[in-house]
Amino acid sequence: MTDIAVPHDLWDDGREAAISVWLYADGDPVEAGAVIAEIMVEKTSYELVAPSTGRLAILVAADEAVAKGQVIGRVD
Amino acid sequence: MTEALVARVARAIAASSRLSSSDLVPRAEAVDRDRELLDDLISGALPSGFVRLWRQQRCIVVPGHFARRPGFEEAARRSADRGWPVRVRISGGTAVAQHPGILNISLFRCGGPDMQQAYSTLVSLIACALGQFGLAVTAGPIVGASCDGRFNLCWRGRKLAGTAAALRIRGGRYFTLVHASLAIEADLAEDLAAVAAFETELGMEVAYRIDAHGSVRCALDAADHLPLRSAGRQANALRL
Repeated sequence: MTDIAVPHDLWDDGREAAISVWLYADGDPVEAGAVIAEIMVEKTSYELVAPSTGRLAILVAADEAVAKGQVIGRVD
Repeated sequence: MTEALVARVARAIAASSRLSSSDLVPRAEAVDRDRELLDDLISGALPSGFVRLWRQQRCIVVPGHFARRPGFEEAARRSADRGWPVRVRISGGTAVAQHPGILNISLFRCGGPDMQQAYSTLVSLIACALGQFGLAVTAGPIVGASCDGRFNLCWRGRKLAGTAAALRIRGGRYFTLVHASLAIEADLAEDLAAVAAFETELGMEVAYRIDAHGSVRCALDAADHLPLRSAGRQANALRL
């Protein structure tokens, strides 16, 4: 099981970010390195990639606010 | 007249950038090239600091997550029926009108995750160019502007250009596209109406003000626009 976390250094202040989209559904198989989600901070779009191969478990839904370092999903 | 002014502004921006290419023939798929060039930057085929100047045929461009909203297909179809087809870009923000009166400037760079620096670099580049035309611009948000943000290029309270970015992390390295859409000459009411109609049909609440927007042509036509000033002073004024 591998956590999918928002990187600590994606933005440099306390601004609110949100998951703009999950590109896979909860329970879908994903491969390590695949782009699985996008995070939006202001008008900058960041891609998140799967840290390992397995099944995606989504812990935070799209459009929800997220913080730096927050675990938003897992690959089981 | 639009063509000549676009060409002049593009030349001024290109002259201030180390590496650039101009692709000013408006194309339907022009926006897609940014995605390819960001991939080239990641693979090492494109040097950091590269600037692309380009134009798009008339359409509305939206960030990728818009395309996954419920009702997107229908809203896009209706927009196309009104003469505004919808295309997807890789950077963030909201919907933006595109047509040959809009000059797009895309900066590709490798470096750290400091997006403020990336935005500032692009904004300063454009401000230097506009300074050569005697336009003193600032960076900041504009209440009532569509696709608003901290790094708009503004002239007397009107948004001349919006900016947005995409960041990719590969192997611990950061690759950035930061992009601006500069209104050179436009029917601003028509542009704003097209964006507002599309976003409303997508279920968004919009409250845009026409007087929050402007164009380079409008600014130059203002009888009292500031006399020519040095690009260096413009850059210093915009350092964020």
